[in-house]
Amino acid sequence: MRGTLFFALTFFAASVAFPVQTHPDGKTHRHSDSEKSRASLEAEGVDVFVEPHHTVIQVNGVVCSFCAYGAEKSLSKLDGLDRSEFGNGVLVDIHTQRITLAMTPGTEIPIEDIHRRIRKAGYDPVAVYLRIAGTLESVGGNLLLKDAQSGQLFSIVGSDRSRAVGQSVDVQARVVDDAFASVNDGAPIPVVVDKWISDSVDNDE
Amino acid sequence: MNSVMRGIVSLAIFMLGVSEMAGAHQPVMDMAPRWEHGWGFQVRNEYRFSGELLGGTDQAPNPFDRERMVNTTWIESVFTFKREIRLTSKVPLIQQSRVVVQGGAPVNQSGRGIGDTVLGLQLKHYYNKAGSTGNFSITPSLRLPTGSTKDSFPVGDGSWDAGISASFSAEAPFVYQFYDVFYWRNSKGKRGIDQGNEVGFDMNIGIHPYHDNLTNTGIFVMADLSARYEGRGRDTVGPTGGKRISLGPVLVGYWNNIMVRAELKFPVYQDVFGIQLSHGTDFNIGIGLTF
Repeated sequence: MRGTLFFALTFFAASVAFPVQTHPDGKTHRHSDSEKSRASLEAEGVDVFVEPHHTVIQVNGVVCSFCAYGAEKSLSKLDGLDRSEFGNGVLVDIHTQRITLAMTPGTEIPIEDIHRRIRKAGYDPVAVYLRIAGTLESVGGNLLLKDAQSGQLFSIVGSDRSRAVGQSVDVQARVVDDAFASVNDGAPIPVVVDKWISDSVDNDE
Repeated sequence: MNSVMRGIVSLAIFMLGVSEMAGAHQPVMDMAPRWEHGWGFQVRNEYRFSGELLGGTDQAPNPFDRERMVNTTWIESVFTFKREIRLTSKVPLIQQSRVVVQGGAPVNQSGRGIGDTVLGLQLKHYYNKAGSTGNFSITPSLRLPTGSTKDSFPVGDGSWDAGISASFSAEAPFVYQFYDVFYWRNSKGKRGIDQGNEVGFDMNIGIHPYHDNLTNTGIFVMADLSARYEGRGRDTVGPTGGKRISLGPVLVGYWNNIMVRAELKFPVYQDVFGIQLSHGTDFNIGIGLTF
């Protein structure tokens, strides 16, 4: 019995003394551009930073590490994941309650499928953050952003950037509240832009 | 690490260090698998030994060296239809022996085989918040008389028993807590076995000091408190029932869909009906997988 207690105590003490340091979003960031963008977002009060080709989902309740395996397992079956990242293309961060999906460039983001899989895994997705690099278009008075590589369309809500139509932009956006639960197949996904990371209008200003 | 965390860690170390006291019971897969059509199984070995004779709360003389050893391997499984409804089963494989006094002389008795199977229907209500998750659960259960009563130390009691439990658990990134109250109505079995009804309370409170997002690996360190009241009854050799409080440490490690759990349970208070062996110290170790 003493041996068991000694083992347990040693294991516990070691885990406390030598914790693995994980970045709040669970990733290692190597690019100075990313750091600048993150700092810029943080300065504007946006606490989520999305790397290019990543999709970040804020999920209520995903703090139960052993049961989060179900969400990770289900999401890892999504088409278009870049499985060279995070081992299977999916990173669950229980500290921030965010799930990051690494998408292969040129792949459409299956917003509704992501929502459905997380719900079936027992959790409640509350926000989806995207990084979109593409061209602004104006269709029927609506401002659309077409992803340069996948061709996926996003409808930009609440922005007066119509003067930038035709220009290439790189934005961090979030899917309009609850829209990710019921996006019609092929319809533009309504998003709010949190940050115009690179665009000539910003540069002019 | 802030002062609150330091306090919690110190408390956990203290509880591990002073485990003169002892442990409890635990639904290992309380919130997993919570995904639709998820399933899991667990193999858990429970070893219990006692050579201490009690009369009420006091130690009684034990001139014939009465003792009891029970070694149970539980095969447990769970299937989640949807996150609100789960079916569980627990099948014990028992190997046990004891020394009793019959005709004024010590007699060795033993038994082995499949014990009484427990089936449960868990009805859960989960909640998910920013920074925490948890569930309320009601579990009606049935204990089937699958264990034989033929051995000198029978592994079953030959009765159909019904139980119900209500539990609540909550988890945040650094803290886990679980509370459960249950009631078992034990009906009369074979060979004169007639165990009393049982009421129990279990509590697990612990911390989650280590987790790695990339590998989904981590550990929990918890304290377990169990309280039991079993009505006056009898088995094949004497009285059963009494009150008991146990306390002890629990260590859980996990890696993706695999979880390992070890716990010690020490009785810190016992009050038995008549003259009985102490419940004894439990050592429990298990491994579980979810799919």
